Amino acid sequence: MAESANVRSIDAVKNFHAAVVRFQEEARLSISSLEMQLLRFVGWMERDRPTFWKREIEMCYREMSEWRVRLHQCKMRKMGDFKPTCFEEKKALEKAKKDLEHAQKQIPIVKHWTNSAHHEANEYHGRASQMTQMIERDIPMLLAMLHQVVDRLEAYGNVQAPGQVANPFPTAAASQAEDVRATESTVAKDLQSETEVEQ
Amino acid sequence: MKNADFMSAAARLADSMKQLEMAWMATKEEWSDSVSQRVEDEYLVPMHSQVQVMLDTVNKLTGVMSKAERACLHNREAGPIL
Repeated sequence: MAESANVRSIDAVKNFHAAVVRFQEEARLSISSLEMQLLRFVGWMERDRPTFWKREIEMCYREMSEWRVRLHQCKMRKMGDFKPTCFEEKKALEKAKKDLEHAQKQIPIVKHWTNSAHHEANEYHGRASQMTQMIERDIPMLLAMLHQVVDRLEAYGNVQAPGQVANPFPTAAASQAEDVRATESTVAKDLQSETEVEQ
Repeated sequence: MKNADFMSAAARLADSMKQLEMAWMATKEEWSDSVSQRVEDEYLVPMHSQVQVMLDTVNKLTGVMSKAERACLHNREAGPIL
């Protein structure tokens, strides 16, 4: 049995169709931006960080050897009973050692966080693919449905006199979106028979 | 975060969903029958859930990536981490 449609404004449906198109576009852009940011970040973790900390280790070694030389030179400045404290050199050497230790510890830390970043990125990609499916499969189905609603309403508007109860949506049309095209022909038949009755 | 910005895209997605829901509320005032109900039940409700799940995922992602960034940056690079 057919249910009666309750649409007071075709423009409202058209406006909603436009809103869905805007949402689809915005959602696409958001997903693509997220993907870009994720690629950039994972690239930074994978390539930039290991190189950065390796360079840092090399720099610390250079600093250490430099301060060792300076400390040695300082100690050599002993004159008579005067023994230089070489405080600055000792302090700098100590700092270079600590920096080296820190940089060496960063190598496994970077590996650990790169793995975590990969894990998170995989989880994200799982969700994002569902979202993409929604954008590229479900939304077009919704748009097709809305388009069809507008088409039917407009078709009925052309056929029926004002004040008559329009029925552009038989119950069959409320089934699967894939059936949308099939129900279109049902409506066309309904339309045809109603027109014949009126004649 | 210094090396990635996930939140702007997430905010954009959240905002566009909000706009769509507002558009639907306005449409519902003019359209209320079994087909409009179907639009809501079969499309809009799942879309809302999907977006919500996506936003939660991005939040979690941002949390982990922020920690990763902090752990892997050198003090001299750090500056203010957002």
